Amino acid sequence: MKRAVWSMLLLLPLCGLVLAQDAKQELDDKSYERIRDYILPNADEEAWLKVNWRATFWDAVIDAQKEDKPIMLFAMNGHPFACT
Amino acid sequence: MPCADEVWRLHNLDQPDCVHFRKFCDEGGVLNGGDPGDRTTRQGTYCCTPSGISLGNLNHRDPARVKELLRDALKKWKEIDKKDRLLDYDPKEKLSEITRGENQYPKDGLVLKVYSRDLERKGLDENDWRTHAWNFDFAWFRKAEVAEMLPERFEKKTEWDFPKHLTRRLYRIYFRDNVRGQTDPFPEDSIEKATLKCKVTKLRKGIVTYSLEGEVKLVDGERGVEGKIMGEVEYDTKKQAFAKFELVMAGERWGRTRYNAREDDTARAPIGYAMKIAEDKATEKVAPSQLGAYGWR
Repeated sequence: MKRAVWSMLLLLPLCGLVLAQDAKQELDDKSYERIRDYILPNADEEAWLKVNWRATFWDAVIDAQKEDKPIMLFAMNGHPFACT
Repeated sequence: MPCADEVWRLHNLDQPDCVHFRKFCDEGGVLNGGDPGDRTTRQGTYCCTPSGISLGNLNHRDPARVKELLRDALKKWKEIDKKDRLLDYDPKEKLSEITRGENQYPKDGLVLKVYSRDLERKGLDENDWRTHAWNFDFAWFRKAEVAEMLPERFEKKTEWDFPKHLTRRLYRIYFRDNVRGQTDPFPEDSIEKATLKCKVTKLRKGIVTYSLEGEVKLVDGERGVEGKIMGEVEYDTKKQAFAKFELVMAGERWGRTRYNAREDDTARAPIGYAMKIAEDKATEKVAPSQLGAYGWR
C-alpha cells in the first residue's frame, strides 16, 4: 500500500505535465490571452512592415514619377499584405 | 520606392498597371524557369523605372542577394536620362481604368486582420521555416453587415446569435489552413458546425461590451478543422463603430491542399487564429485574398 502511495506521488508531476500540455490548446477564460498572444506576431516578425510600403504597384509608379525615384516591387502569388 | 503587389493579376490582366508590369518583367531573364509569354508565375522582386525600364530582378529570400540587386539597380538608375526613366504622362490619369478588390474597401464597415499560426507541439525541427510560419489576411464587413452584429437592446445579459451567414463566411474562409501558404476556402457544404453566441457583459459610458463564444467543424474530403472560438467586442454607441473586435480560435487541423506545404504534416495538429481590428493605413486596406468567395455584388 505504502509503495502504491509513493508511486502515485511520484507520478503526480508527470500527470501535471500531461495535463498542462493538453490544457495549452484548450481555449477558455484562463488560456485566452496566452493563446492569443502566441498567435499574434511579435515585433521582430513584423519588422518588415516598418518599411514605407506602397500597397499597389501603380501607387508606387505614381509616387516614384512625382519624386523621380526607382521602384522596388515585391510581387507574390497572393498579395504580400494579405496572405501569400 | 518600395511596393508590394499580387503578381497573377499583374501578369495576366490587361489593365494599365498590368500592361506596364509586363513591359519589364521578363527583361534580363524570365524568373522561375518560365519562358517569355508563358503562364509560369512571375513572382519575385523587381526593380524598374517609373517609365517601365527594367533595373533587375530576382526571386530569392537571401537578404545579401536582394541587397546586391538594389545596389545594381541604383547604379543603372543613375545611368539613365531623366526623360527616359519617367513617363511622359501623369500615371494618376490611369487610376480610373484600374479595377481592384481594394475599390470595395468598406470604409464605413468593419475590417479585421486575421492571423494564423500552428499552436505549440513537440517534435518539430526548430531550424525549419515551417515550424515558425504564420500568415495573415483581412476580413471585410460592410456597414449593413455590421448592423446585423449588434443586439436588439443594449442591455446587460442580452444574448443573441451572431448572424449565421456571417459566421459561416468567417469560418469557412478564415479558418482554412494558410499558415504555410495559400489555400482555398472551405466550401459551404463542408460546414458541420458553425456557432457563435453573443452576450452583453458590460455597459459603460456609451460602450457596449459583449462576449463571443462558439464552435466550428469543417470537413472537406481529406482536410478539415475543428475548434473553439472566444472573443470580446466593444461597440461605441456614440461613434456607432467598434472600439475593439477580438476573436481567437484554437483547435486542430488535418489534411493538406496543393500549395499549403503540409505534404508531410497531414495528421491532426493544433492550429490557432486571432483577429483584431485592422489599422487605418494603406497596407491594411488590401483586399481579402478570397474576396471572390464573399458573394458580394
